[in-house]
Amino acid sequence: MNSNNIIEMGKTSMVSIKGEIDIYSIEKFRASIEKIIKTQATEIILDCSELSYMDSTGMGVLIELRNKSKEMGQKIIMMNPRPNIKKLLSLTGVDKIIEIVDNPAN
Amino acid sequence: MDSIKLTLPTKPEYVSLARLTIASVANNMGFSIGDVEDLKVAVSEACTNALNHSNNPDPTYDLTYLVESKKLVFTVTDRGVGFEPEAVAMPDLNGTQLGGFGLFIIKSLMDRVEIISERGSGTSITMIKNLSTTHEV
Repeated sequence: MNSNNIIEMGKTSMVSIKGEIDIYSIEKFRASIEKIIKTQATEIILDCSELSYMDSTGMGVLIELRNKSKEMGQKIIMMNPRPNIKKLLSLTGVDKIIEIVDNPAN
Repeated sequence: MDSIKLTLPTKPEYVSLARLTIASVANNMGFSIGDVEDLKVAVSEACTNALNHSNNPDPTYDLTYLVESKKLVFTVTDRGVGFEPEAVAMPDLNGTQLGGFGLFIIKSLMDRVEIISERGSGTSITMIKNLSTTHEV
């Protein structure tokens, strides 16, 4: 999992999540998003265009991060998750608490 | 009927190996792209379960793939402390109870799931995915 590419646009931070999120890469993912939650960003966009795999480990941490960011008055948005990941977000109901957007540019 | 056996170290970095092998086996069998993704998630969840919840004193756990003509039967077996599958609660999206997603996902994605768990001797999760006769485009 690689998420070094963080772009700040005013109050919006966009981070590109690449590769796989599983039990091995989860702590790196958690740490990179927690770092953004500590900033002044009101909106955190996770660009998932190049995220090929995520399982329940990722879903659990996404929920944790969403609850943390909510306390800080921030919002987490997932952009362009692939169909296999969208299916799990829907199955677990995570898509009801985290906004998912499809950017037609991709 | 072909049988493939894999013994993995109880370390997170090798879970991706379980995904790679099931994807290869399922592709060879003719599973659709969507089904291959579901199989990768199911095996990964079972491996994660073996690493996270088993308190496995054994440095390894086992995977078996049975290639049958119209289905893939695969089992993840650990030699950990075991658990009661019925006692696993569904996660609470707004609270702190975030466990339980793994088994729920496995049961949702697979055609049949059998869990045998004994306190003190480990857990074995067997999952079956039928080869669909209708092909996705």
